Amino acid sequence: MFKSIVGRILSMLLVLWVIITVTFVLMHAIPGGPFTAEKALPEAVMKNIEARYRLNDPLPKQYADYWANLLRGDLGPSFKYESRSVNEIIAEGFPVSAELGLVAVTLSVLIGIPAGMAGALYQNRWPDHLVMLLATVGISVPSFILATLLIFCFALWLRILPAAMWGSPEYVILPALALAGMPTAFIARLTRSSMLEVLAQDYIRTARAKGIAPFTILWRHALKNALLPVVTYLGPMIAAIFTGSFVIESIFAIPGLGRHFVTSIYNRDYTVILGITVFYSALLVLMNFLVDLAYLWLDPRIKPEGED
Amino acid sequence: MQPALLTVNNLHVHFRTYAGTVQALRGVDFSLAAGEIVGIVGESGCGKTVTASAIMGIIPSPPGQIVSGEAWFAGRDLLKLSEKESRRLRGNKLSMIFQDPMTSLNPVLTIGTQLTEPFIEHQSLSQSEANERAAELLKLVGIADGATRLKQYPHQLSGGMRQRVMIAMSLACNPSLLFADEPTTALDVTVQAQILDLLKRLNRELNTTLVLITHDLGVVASLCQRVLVMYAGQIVESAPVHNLFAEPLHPYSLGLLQSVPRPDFQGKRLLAIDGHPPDLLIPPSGCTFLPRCRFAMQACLEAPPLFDLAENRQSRCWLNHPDSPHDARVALAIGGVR
Repeated sequence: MFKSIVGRILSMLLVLWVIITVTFVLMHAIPGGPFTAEKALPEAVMKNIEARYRLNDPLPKQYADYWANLLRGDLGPSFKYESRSVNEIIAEGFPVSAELGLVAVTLSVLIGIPAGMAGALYQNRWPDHLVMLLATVGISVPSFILATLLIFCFALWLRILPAAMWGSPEYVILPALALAGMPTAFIARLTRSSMLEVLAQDYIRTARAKGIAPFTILWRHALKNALLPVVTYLGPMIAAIFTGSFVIESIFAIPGLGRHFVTSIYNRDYTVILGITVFYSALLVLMNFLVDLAYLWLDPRIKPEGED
Repeated sequence: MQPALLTVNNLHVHFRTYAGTVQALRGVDFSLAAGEIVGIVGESGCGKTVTASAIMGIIPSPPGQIVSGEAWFAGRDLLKLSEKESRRLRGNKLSMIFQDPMTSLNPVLTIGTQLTEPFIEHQSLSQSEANERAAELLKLVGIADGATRLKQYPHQLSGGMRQRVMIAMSLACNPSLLFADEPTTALDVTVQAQILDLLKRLNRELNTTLVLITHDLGVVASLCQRVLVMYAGQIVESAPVHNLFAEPLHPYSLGLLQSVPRPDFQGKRLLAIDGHPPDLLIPPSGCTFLPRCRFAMQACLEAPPLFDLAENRQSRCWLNHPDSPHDARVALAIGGVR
């Protein structure tokens, strides 16, 4: 067990190294730089700035310097936002995005899994049709449409929730709902199909032959078996939702991390691009690791590598 | 014959599929005496498993539907019970073991969890009492280190071991009727013999009525007292086991017996029953075995009833009609000679 976890961590670090290197190369391959503006700066000023941020060093040196700083936990200064470091940007944005994300993920799990189970249990009857209809709508309607509808209903029409901004808990509700729409629908479909597969298994028939109550069969015999694909999806989904959504955070004017993914690339804000990519990848790799650990708990047949 | 433990009358089961309605059971009648071992034989799809499932109340519905029939057990018609009442009998007074022990146990639950469930469900025992009983059950079916096994998962056990666990599970509440649906088909030969011995011993010791569903006539010969031969959703012959093997009355039974390899026919070609069983989406109006029967005659265009004959024997063939011009036994015996 211990040996395989160490092995996993080493391979996770390798993945991170590849991601950082590829991002670094791609980023510098885009034409322009952080200080390219429509109105060109005087050459001397440009030289000065580039010297200050060490952008005139050869790329391998910049790469080596970046790693040296990264290993000390320093993601560097932002080029666009003066006197702010990437560490600060993440430290400010991530808690906001993570809070929103946590609510959205909780909603989608608490709604999606029972909805999928209901669909499977009442296959081809009205609860199933209702769940599948809503799930299809949930998957096809983009989050910005859902967000707009929610704002229209609850903020403009019923006037019970704030339309935008961030602050007290009621500000979380609408963006969390908008953010949860797609994953909820996806989880419901995933749960339904994997539940249907599980309910057709021989061991469910055995449980029925033992006279076990239908709810117990569903809860004890079927759910754990049916959750594997859902958990697989949940890992990367949590990483993506916790780091914020550009669309939702723009619509609701939420000071999260999401917008930096897009704006930093426009700005050629090299350190921010790299910083949040590193952050997101680390989170993603970590979540996948947690998913693998969850497998071990869900399915006793799965054993960590290195054991028989 | 003792008073019947189970009496099944005119059982019809249909399955609605996209292709149409499959008439899986088309009038099944039989009865079982307490403590006997009865074999149900027939080729795949003839309705053996459906019969047992219908009596157990575990036909998946939809698509399955019990169209008509009665199954009297302990003064009650099993087919008229509510789901809740039926559930109280299942795993309790009636139980069933299945063909493939590899897939019939839940892979993510321990043997203990699965084995103690019937006690908790039907006898309201506490988990610790149930654990004790489960360990005793494992000993009964020949698994020694019960306490360890209870903590293990199915994948940590061999196939034979898992089938023993299945049997233990079905015996938990001391059922009066046990259906064993091809209990040895998925096991290798030496393990098969052990499992059959186990079933025989349990029948003797616990007086459990055993219905053995199989297509292995060797198993039937070694274990059963009485045999029901099924074909196309009906029972075509019912006989004590030695009578069936000595002088089958129905041409299908004869065909089955002739298709078993025998040491004294070494070097000769094995006889097979030509053709296929009828499509139960549109069952033929006459005798269902007609197209494959070597003794077919004009009368067979009309479906024969199940004739009651001597010595607990029944046969669904016009040759066994009391006014039949042929002596059926003679006819089949001649047909049996190669």
